[in-house]
Amino acid sequence: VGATADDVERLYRERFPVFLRVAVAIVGDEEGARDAVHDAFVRALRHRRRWRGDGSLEGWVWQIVVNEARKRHARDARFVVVVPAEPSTNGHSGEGRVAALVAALPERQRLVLFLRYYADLDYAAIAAALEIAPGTVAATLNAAHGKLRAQLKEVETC
Amino acid sequence: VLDVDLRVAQALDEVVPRYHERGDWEAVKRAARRDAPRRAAAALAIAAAAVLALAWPFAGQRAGVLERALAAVGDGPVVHAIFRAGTGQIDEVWYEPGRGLLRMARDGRPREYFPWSNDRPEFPWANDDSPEGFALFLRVTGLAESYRNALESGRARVLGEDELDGVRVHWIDGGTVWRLDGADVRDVWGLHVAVSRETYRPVAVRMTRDGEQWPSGTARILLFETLPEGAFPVEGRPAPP
Repeated sequence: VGATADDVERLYRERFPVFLRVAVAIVGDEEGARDAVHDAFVRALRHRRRWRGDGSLEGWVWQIVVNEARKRHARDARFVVVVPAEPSTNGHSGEGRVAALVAALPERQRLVLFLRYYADLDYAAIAAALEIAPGTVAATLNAAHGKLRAQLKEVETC
Repeated sequence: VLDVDLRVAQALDEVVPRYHERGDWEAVKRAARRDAPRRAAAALAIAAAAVLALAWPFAGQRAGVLERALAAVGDGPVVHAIFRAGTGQIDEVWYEPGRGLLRMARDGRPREYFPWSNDRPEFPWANDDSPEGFALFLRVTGLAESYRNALESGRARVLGEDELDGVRVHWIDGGTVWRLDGADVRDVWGLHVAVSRETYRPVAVRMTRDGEQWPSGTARILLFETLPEGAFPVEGRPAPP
């Protein structure tokens, strides 16, 4: 088994903007995210023969991209503090407010949301990317939805 | 059936925009083609330089500034340091990742202890009433972790040369120490370390905030030593002085 260089290239060319978007969501800045996607595809291309073919190639590559993005996010600062969202004072939920709500979610919930909404992956691909069971994906997504819906509602009714 | 919530989708669309760029596949191919054995040889050479610097820290041009700075900083997990801030205040601190941060009083007795909790010391974070305390935290954790990590990973870089109180130094960018991410704020605190051009030991530190020098962050380092596990002077929270 194993993927060909053409397979990896095709995936890159077809899905680069989506990989980049998810990486930006994880890393927090575009430059770092571009580096993460670049490094991840370099690894995928070098190690393409290690893909066992028991899941989708895209799921396998997503696993590498997510890991690179997480490493990049973690490596610069030993201490990263996410400021929790405060209730809106003007009744509007601005971009920053929503970003804070998302940032305050547990990491796994955030990653599942990003892969589901930004990358449009199904449960099996998300499970492969995050190395968790498909059932865990469903439960995690459900929990993230519940939390976000409640918080968004709270912000909108302030 | 996949669970998709329109309100959540709209909210996430606000957080990260859609991208339309195509990337650079040729750059990926070029990077992937680099010969793996050559990369391994380069890594070995860096390790050898560090070993050389450890063995002969004053061996002229045998090792570069960064390798010698890495050798001079040591590898013990416990950090013991004495700083003199720009205000003249002198602080002696002990720090060990996983254990905590201990601030000593002038008489050599423990003054404040911030035990490790939830992956960091329980410190009064970014307390506006205590910029000196926050700066002290940044200095010691920055030197103990960010600076050492930056040197070990090869991300550190030499910023230039300088002279501090008659001591000729190299300034080294020691990376990011602390980052605050939030809805209305994104603060990034970084670390610059001055090392003696004679000994390559840290002799001064200055903090940056969002790339600009932070006035409260500059201090001379009167002592900096890394010690083996078990050297941290207290087992638990010390009694108040």
